[in-house]
Amino acid sequence: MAMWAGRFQKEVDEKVNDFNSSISFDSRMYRHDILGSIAHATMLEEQNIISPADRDAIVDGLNGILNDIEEGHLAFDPTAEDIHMFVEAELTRRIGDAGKRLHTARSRNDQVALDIRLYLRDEVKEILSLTKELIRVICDMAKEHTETIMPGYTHLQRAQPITFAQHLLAYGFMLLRDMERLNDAYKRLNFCPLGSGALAGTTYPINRKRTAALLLFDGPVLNSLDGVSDRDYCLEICSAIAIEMMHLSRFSEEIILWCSWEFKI
Amino acid sequence: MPQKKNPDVAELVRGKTGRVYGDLMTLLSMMKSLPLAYNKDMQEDKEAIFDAVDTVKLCLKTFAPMLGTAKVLKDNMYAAAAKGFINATDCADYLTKKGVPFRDAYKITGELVAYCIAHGKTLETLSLEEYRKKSDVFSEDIYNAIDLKTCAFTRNSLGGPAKEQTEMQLKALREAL
Repeated sequence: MAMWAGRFQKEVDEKVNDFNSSISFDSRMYRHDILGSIAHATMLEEQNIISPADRDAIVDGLNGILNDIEEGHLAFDPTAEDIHMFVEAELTRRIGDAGKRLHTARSRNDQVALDIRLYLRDEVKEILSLTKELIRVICDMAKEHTETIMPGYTHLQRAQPITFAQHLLAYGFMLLRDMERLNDAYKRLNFCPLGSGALAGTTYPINRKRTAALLLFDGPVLNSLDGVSDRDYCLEICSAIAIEMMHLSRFSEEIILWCSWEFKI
Repeated sequence: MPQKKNPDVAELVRGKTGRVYGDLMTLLSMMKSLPLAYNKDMQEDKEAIFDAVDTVKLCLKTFAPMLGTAKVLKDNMYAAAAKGFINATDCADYLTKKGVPFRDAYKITGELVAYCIAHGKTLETLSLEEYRKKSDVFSEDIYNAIDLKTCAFTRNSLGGPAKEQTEMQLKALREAL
């Protein structure tokens, strides 16, 4: 028995549960969690690991949960440990034993790695599209100012005359590189860890290539340890975002300077 | 302070940049000592990457409208360019193109600028006689050579501010999108 057991046990348990829980922030991946589970169940049935009836119950049940969350009919349970447990518990509540078979040949370790990758795929696409939109605004503005003379600076001292278009387009090229970095990170993001299991795969005859294809990945991650413990894609995307923010921040700094009475341009 | 109009959006973008650097540090630090394979530490990845993603999206969504509605004070820009002897390089280049060795041209221009400062003038307002006191290579066409528009528009080297180069850049950017 732990030293701190006894009359504090209940209180400690609750605190540890709160500390352990991630549903307050991982619930935003509900859609990706459900889509991953649908692909997993589809593959399990194809490999004769679960029955067609169970597969149908699971897929219908998951689609119902997805629909209910999006329609606002199903709220996340803040006492659930994470989004994966929440969805699975809700599924089992709805369809009974078939729900308990969904997690066959899978671990939360590969499930969460899959969810983040699916989630980030969508987010990277949105960041790319927003960046593209900003570059378009910059191009339109530059087009209007190809003859607008402004001072070009070095050491924040007026150095040589340039045009405002030239100045704006410098930011256009920075943002274009940001898009290239995100696209490049996406290439390595787009591999599927599902089927890595807890760390060492599984004895079930799963088909990892099939789930990767169902989820539109370029292929499965080839090493199960790497599949569950790699977070390079988070680092690469965060790094690309940090560099893009640095560009926006430099631009912001100039706008702040230009707005001052000392500049007033 | 009723006289002030603060560039709040730009300041917020600048401020939030630090937060995103923090997210990157969180992720790098989280990973650096983790033995293979999964460890519970990795649950910390989500708040950091979610925050970075949310922040950059928010900033991009506010930045484009801010730029789109910005009022460019062209006259003030021009006036700012007209101060500070920004065309001194072009004055030296003018002399060089007429055969004066570059170092000599640079020195003559430096003396002219010093003369202007001492007499409250600019290169545009110097008389031709004043120019010719420093070098008889100067003639009437110096005024066109140091005109700010000439200075910017004739910098037609690849990637420069001349109109042809701006068009090239615009085309390259638009094609890349």
